[in-house]
Amino acid sequence: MGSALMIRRHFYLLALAALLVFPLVIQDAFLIHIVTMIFFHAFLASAWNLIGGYCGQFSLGHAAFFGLGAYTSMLLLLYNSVPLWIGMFVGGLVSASCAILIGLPCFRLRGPYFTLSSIGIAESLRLIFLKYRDFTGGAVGLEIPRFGANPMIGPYPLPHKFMGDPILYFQFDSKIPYYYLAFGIMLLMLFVTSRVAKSKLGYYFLSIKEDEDAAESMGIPTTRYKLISLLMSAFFMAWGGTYYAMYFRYIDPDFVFALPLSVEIALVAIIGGLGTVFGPLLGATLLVPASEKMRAWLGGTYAGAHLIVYGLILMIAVLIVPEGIWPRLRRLIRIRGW
Amino acid sequence: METDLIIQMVVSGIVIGGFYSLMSIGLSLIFGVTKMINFAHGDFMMLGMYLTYWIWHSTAMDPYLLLLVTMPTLFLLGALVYKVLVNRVIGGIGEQQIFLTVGLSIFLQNLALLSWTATYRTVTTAYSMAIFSAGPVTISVPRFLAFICSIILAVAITLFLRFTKTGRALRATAEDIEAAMLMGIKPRRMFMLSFAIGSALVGGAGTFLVSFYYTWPTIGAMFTLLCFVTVVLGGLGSIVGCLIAGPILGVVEGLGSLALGAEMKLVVLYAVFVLILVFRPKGLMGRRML
Repeated sequence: MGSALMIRRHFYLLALAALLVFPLVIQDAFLIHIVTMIFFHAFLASAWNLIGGYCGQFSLGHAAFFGLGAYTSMLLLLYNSVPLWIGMFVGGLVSASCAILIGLPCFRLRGPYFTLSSIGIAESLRLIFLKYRDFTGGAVGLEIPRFGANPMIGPYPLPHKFMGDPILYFQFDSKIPYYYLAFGIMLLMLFVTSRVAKSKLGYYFLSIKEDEDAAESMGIPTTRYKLISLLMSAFFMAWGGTYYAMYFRYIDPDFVFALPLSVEIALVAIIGGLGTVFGPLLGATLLVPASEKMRAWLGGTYAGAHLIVYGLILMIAVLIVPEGIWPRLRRLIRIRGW
Repeated sequence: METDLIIQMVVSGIVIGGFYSLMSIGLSLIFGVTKMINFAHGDFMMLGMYLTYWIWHSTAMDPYLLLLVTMPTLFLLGALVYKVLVNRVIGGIGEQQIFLTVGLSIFLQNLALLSWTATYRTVTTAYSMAIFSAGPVTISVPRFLAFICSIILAVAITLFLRFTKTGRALRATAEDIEAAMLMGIKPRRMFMLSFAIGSALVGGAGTFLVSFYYTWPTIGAMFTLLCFVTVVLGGLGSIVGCLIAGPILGVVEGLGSLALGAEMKLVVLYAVFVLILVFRPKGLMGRRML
């Protein structure tokens, strides 16, 4: 057996192994940060893909679920010292309940209502979290204090000299644990997506995406399945919010509930490939390093410059590769016989 | 005292609502004819506002005179955007249409941010601060002017759609595209026209707005959302619906901000949006254009 064939056979296993040892071999903190962000965005885009890609319901307000997850777990931590590990599940439930509130009125209807409504809920939550600042910290945001430090900002009654078990509170000085956590939740998300795609549920989603009338006439309760898809998506999106809070230790409504975040999540999935398991990972691999670079080049001097490029990429991608890059790549590989 | 305040809010709600109607008519027209939502609608208005501002800034011309510049410019821009971008996704899948205009919106907002910075800008005229009172109610003169002009423009577009040959062709395309094609109407030309007219109207709305409000690069996002709510309340694609829905929303928004604070305006609007979807998803006027 030639080594080329070996690599082809076990490509996924080799990739997995390489990514597992990556942070141990490469000591560069910035590179580790980039790859962590790739995993994180791939996770978010995969969660979005459940409703946007598989079910064909385009949300431009997933920041709402992200933000609810981030704020629920963060407030629980700061007010009641509940570890983020538990907070992420509570956040998931809160954001899934919010998904029911959006889904019920919108999913009975066809047309652009869901997209409009999703933007509306995210904007509303942003304004509400900005307004009730006595509880949420408002525009100042919330910060997880470092171990041994006094809380600097925010209204919350954390014990002085915040202390705790680093694993329980997931607080480390090194970036490596965060890397593995992001890798883990991304693998879980890919696993969930691939299981859903192959299950009856996935075929129901697909039938709704392809032709809702036909699906309904086959006896599929389309409203219910659209709702299930959104619930799953919202639940995992909340985990994304919690992870963000853990990693950056700081959240504010103008980032976690804002439209650019929603668009970015959708963009990653669109570029990679809607309704594919590996599309979001590919999309994140292409977009995240590019956007980090652009931010570094342009961000300081020209505010918003990297978003211009985002807008352009979005338009060009929609016109040139509407089905995403991953399906194209697959086809290319098959034709070339690699 | 309390009732006076409420009457004041209702009256100013109706006045600003006339302006909301004008702003949303374009979106409704575009949706009615092409069946797609233009997520960059508010950003066209932002361009109209900046265009007015910059010409006013260098020539000190009256902003209302500048309608003659902004509306034709935005008309051409709308046609161009249709020709270069939108034409390629007509008849395509839904997500292409949504994300294309979302991409355009992000692009325009940040282009504006890059070229004109985030500074708040407004046009000041001799009558900017003027008010007149009728009984317990005071009304700002520029807002009232915007209201009157919005109504005139809205009536003009209604007459155009009702009585001219082109207007009838637009309505025919909106109602039944295949029948329209059989009558010799070229649908893509109608799509382009609806984009051009819709953009010209919202550009004109921008000229009015900048004379009593500030402009900044991302102002469009907020107003796009407002337009959606107006259009959905009126009935997607209905022009008359917009005319009725604008003032209703103006009043609801006014009373809502009285009760919850001005920064919660959008939340009130969103709540209205959800209530419409639950109780009357086809809107006040259904899908009929006129």
